[in-house]
Amino acid sequence: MAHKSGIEIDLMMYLASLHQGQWFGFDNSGNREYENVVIHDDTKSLPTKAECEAGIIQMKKDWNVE
Amino acid sequence: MAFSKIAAENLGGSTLPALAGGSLTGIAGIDGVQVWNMTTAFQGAGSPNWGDIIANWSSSAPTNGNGAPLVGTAPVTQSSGIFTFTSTGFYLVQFICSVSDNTGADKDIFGTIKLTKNNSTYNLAARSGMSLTEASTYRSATATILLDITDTSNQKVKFAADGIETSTYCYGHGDYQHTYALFWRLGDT
Repeated sequence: MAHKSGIEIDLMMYLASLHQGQWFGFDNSGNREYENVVIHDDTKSLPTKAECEAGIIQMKKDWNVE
Repeated sequence: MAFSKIAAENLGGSTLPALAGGSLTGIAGIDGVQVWNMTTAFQGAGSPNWGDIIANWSSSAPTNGNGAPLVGTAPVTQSSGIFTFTSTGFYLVQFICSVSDNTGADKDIFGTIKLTKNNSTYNLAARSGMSLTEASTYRSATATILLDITDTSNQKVKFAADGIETSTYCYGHGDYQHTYALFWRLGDT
């Protein structure tokens, strides 16, 4: 379910919430899954897939999207 | 008066395009239009780029789009957020910047087009401000500029979401256009 703004609370939004700026993106496959994340900032690291899944759930609670 | 009765000299004389064999000549039309999409959202400006959009630009169609977002010859190439014009000429450049803040106000945000004339120092060339007056508000700003590009090696542009605070998201997505830039090559310089 999306936030009332229409924004989907997904992996992209969770990762964006972790650090400032453009520290990550996705490869050109068009697949926006965990396996397709690209790190632009070597000082940042990608959380585990389980951590991301838990983080998305928590973010949905925080944003009242459930 | 019927159109056929208007004397040619009253239509602008020699400045009018010529008719040659049924085709108009002397018109330098738009020969390249392209859309670049920012495919991933980010939060806060962040050091060291402070809102400059340096990554995640794509000239491919968004997943929910249809067909390549390009007409004619590509007006620009892009590397690390720097857009280089492929030839000299007049260009119309537009940047649409979309933001929201789920937790509070952020009253000083600018969708910005920055131009360098020496391939080094970028200055504000066009900006459009917006204000998130309270939490969960949503805005977009459009900055537009007409450029006469005479030196493709030194005259380049980049885009920024200037002034976004730590809790503000600049939205982008690969499925649809949310924050994106458009380039029109209007004709020769």
